[in-house]
Amino acid sequence: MLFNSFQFLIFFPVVAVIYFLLPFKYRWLHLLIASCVFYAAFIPAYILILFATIIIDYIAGIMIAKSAGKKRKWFLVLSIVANISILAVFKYYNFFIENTNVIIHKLGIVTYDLPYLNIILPIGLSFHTFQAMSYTIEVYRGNQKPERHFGIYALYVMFFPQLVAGPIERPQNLLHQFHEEKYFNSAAVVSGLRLMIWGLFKKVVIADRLALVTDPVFNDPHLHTPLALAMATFFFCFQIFCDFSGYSDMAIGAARIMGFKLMKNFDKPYQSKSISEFWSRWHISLSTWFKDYLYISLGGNRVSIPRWYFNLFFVFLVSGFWHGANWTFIIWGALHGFYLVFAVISKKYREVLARVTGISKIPWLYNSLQTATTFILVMLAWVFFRANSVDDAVYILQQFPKIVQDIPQLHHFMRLVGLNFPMNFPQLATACLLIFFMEAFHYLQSRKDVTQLFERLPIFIRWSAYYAAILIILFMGVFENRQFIYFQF
Amino acid sequence: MEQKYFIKRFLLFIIPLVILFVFIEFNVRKIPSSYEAKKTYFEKAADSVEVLVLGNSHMLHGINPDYFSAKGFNLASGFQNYFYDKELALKYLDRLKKVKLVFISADYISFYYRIEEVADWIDYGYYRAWGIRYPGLSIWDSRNYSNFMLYTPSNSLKYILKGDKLGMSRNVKTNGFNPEDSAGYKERVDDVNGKMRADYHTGIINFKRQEENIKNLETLMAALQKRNIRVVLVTMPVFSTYSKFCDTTIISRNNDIINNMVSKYNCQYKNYFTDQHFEIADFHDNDHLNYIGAAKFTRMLDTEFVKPLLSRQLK
Repeated sequence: MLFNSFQFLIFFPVVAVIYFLLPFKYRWLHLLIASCVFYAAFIPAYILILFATIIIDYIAGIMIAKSAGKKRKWFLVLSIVANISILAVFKYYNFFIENTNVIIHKLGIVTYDLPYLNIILPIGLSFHTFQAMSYTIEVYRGNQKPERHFGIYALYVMFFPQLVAGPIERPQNLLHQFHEEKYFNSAAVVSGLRLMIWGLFKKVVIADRLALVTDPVFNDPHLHTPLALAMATFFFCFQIFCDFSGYSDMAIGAARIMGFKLMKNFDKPYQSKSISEFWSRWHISLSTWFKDYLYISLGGNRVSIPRWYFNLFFVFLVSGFWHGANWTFIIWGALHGFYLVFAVISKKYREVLARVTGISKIPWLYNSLQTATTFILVMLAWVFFRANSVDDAVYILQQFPKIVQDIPQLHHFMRLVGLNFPMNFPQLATACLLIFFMEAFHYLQSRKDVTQLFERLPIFIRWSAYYAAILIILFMGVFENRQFIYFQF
Repeated sequence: MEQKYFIKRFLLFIIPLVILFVFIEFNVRKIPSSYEAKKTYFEKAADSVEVLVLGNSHMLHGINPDYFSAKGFNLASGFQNYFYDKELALKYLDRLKKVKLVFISADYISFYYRIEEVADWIDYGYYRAWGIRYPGLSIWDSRNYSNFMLYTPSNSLKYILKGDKLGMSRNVKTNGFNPEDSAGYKERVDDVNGKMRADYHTGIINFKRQEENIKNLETLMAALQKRNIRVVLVTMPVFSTYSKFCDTTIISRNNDIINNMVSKYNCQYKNYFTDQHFEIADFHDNDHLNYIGAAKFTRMLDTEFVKPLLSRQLK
C-alpha cells in the first residue's frame, strides 16, 4: 500500500481511530494486524518471508540473552547469517549468477548458463532485515533486553509506518514505545498531519513532477543533449530527496499521530559543507546503522591510517550494494567512499589553499563554495545511482563537459522536454520554483524554528496555509500511483 | 474532552474540502469523456452499422468510416487491446445484426501488452464508461468511483474552468472516428522521435501477455465467425522513421501469429506497415495517420474489402 494512494487515505484514519478506541492491551494486536494488511497489499505471499525473519530473530534474541561466552556469539552469527541469507537469495542471487555466468563464459569453463531465480524482490526487504538485525546486535551488546512478547517483537519489525522504507529504527528507540500506553494528543495529531502533508507535497508535487523529466532522459540518454542530461541529473538530486524524505516525513507523521516517535531520517542534506556532513544528514537511520554496526565493528578510526581509509571505503561500498544488486549502485557507493577518503587525505592541503587564497576569511563565500562543491560531487554520484547501466552513466558523465556548446541552443532542450511527456516551459519553471521554495524553507528552518512560529499564528492564517497546501497537492500533484524510489531496496 | 474538541475542529476543517470535492466531481461528471461520447454515438448507431472497426489508436485516427461505401463505426480507442475489442463486440453483438465486416488491428505491439502495464487509467476509463471491468482491477482504487480522480484533480479543474474546450470528447465524431491534425502538431516526424516512439513500443512488449491476447482475439474471431461476419486483420501504415526502428524479430513473430489466425479462422489479413502510398503529409506523427492519411487509407480499405463484399452480397 502506497502512502500516496487512495487505499492509504482510507486505511490510515481507520487504523488510527480504532487504535485510540481500543483498550491498551489490544492495541499491539490491532497494529500488528494493520501492519500485515499494509504489507500484504503489495504481494501477500511475501509476508511469510517477513514472518521467517521475525521468528528467527525473536528466538535468537532470547537465546543470546540466555547464553554466555562463545555461545552468545554463535547465536548472533546464526541470526545474522539467516538474515543475510534471505537478502542474498531474494536480492543478490540473480546478480551473482549474472556475473558468474559472464566470468565462466569468458574463461570458457562451461558453455551453458547457471540458472536464474524467477522471483520478485520483496518490498522493503533490506529495511526490515536491517531493523531485525539491529535488534539481535543490540541484545548481544547488552544495550537492549530481549523482547519476550512475540507479538510486540513482530510489531517492532512490522510497524507499518516504517516497514517498507524506514526509518530503520533501533530497538532502544522503538520497542519500549509499544509497551507504553499512548493517549490521544491533539497537538501530536496536528503536528503528525502537518508532517504527512509536507511529505506528500514533496512526493507528489515535487518528486513525481521532476520524474516526468528525469525518467525519459535517463531511460534513453543517447537521445538527449548534454544540457538535457545535466538538467535531468540536477532534477534527479531533488527528485530522490523529495521522494525519500517525503516518505520518511509521512512515516514519522503517521507514527506521531498514534503517539510514536520515529527517528529523523533527513536533515537538509544539500546544505552540507562536506561529504561526511552529507552522510550525517542523508538517510540518517541507514548511515548510523552502518556506522554503529559495521564501521565501528571494523575498528572505525581507532586503527592504522591505511586501515581507517579501507574502513571508510568499505562501509560505503557495502552501502552501495545494500541499495541494489547492480554495478551502478556499487560504483555509487564506491564513489562516496572515495570522496570521504580523499577528503580526509586532502584536508590539510585544502585548509592551506583556503588560507593562502584568503577565502577562509570570507565565511559566507567559503561556506558557499564548500556547499556547492559537496552538492556537485553528490550530483555526479547520483548519475550512477539513477542510470540504467554503468555504460549509460559513463556516457552521461562524458556529455557534461559539452554543456557549454549546448547553451545557445536552449530551445532545443525545451523542445525535447516538451516532446513525449507533459512538461513545457511553464511547468519546468514551476518545478524550479518548487525546488527553490523547498530549499528556502529548509534555510529558514535552519535559522529559526519555523514550525513554532507557525503555531503561534492566528487560526485563520494556519488554516489558510493548510488549505493552500492541500489544494496545491491536489491540483499540482502527479497522481499516477508512482512508487517510492526506495521501495525497490 | 480534548478528543471531542479536536474532532469538531477537524470536521469543521474538512467540510470546505468535501464541498469542493463534491462540486468538482459533480461538474466533471457532466463533461463526457471520449469513452462516454463514443458509447453514446455507438449505441445510437449500433443497429445500423455494417462495417465495424476495432483496435488501438492507429485504427482510431487512421480509419474514417465516412469513406466506407456502407455505414461504418470506428470503435477503436487508444491502447485498446483484444480484451476490450472482444468485450465490446460481445456486449453489443445482439444489436450488431447488420454488421458484415470487422476490421481488427494487428499492429507491432498488439499481441504483447496489458493496458494496466502501460497506462492503467485506461482500464478505469473503460469501466466507468462501458461498464467493462478488466479482471483483477483493484476495487480500492479511487478511479473506480470518481471522475475527479480518474481525470486527475489538475485535469478536472482545467475541464471545469475551460469546459469541454480542452477536448476530452471534442474530437470524437459521430462515427467514432477521431481525426488528428497534420504532421508536426505534437511530435516531429523524424528519426529521433521515430526511434523514441519505436523504442517506447518495443519496451511495452511483454511476451508473457501473448497467450491471453491471442485467447481474447480467438474468442472474438470465433464469435464473429459464428455470425458469418467477415474479419480482416490490419497492420496499419506507419512512417519509415518509425518502422525502421522496430524489432524485426517481433515483426516476424507477429507474422507467424497472424498467419496462424488466418488459416485457423479463415479471415483476411492486409499488411500496410511500410506501404509506399503514404507520405509524410499523411501522418500526424511517426506512427499515426492524420485526417488526410485516414481518408486515403479508408478509401483503400473500402476498395479492397468493403466494396467487393457488398457487391458479392448483392449478387
